[in-house]
Amino acid sequence: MNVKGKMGEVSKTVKVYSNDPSRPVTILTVRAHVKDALHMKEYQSREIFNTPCSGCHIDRGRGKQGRELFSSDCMMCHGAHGGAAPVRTMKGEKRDHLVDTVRNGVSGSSMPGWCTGKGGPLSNKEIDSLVDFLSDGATR
Amino acid sequence: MLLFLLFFPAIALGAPAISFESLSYDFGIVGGTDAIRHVFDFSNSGDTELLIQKLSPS
Repeated sequence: MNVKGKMGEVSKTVKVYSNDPSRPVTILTVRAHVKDALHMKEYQSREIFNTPCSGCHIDRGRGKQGRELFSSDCMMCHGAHGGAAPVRTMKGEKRDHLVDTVRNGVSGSSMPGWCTGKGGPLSNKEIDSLVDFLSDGATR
Repeated sequence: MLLFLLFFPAIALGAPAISFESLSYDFGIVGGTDAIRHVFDFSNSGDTELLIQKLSPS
């Protein structure tokens, strides 16, 4: 299976036709989850704050607040295919817990602390806007 | 007897029987290399010659 230039879940099937009267066609399937070369490497989660990772993970959110900031900085991991806690899970958390999680990260996970005091890019005001969005405006 | 031969020819007259060890394979997480390969092993558990007539990839 050629996976060059592909990303995400990839599958391919091959039909095998034979003279077996009870099984004239057999379908064989191969599948893979393709990651690009950059993300195959093991990174410390805090590296997303530095170049070149910040180009995708951070820079698009600069100057934004709330929903727009969430879409730019958070959805990459917290979206449907990101693998991190989905919005519907975070919506059920208490505000103080959300604020603490975004500011300081989650130990032992790939969630880094996002506040400037932890080396992240977000001010307390920006983090509050994210939590406001999760608490009030998020619908998914 | 005629009905038996019509509906169960493989049993009555002998036939090939293709048998794969597995029908699917998951490579897991891979990088964006050009190609990844897997071999599907199969055998003929019947009693006449097995012919692979065509392969049709998706």
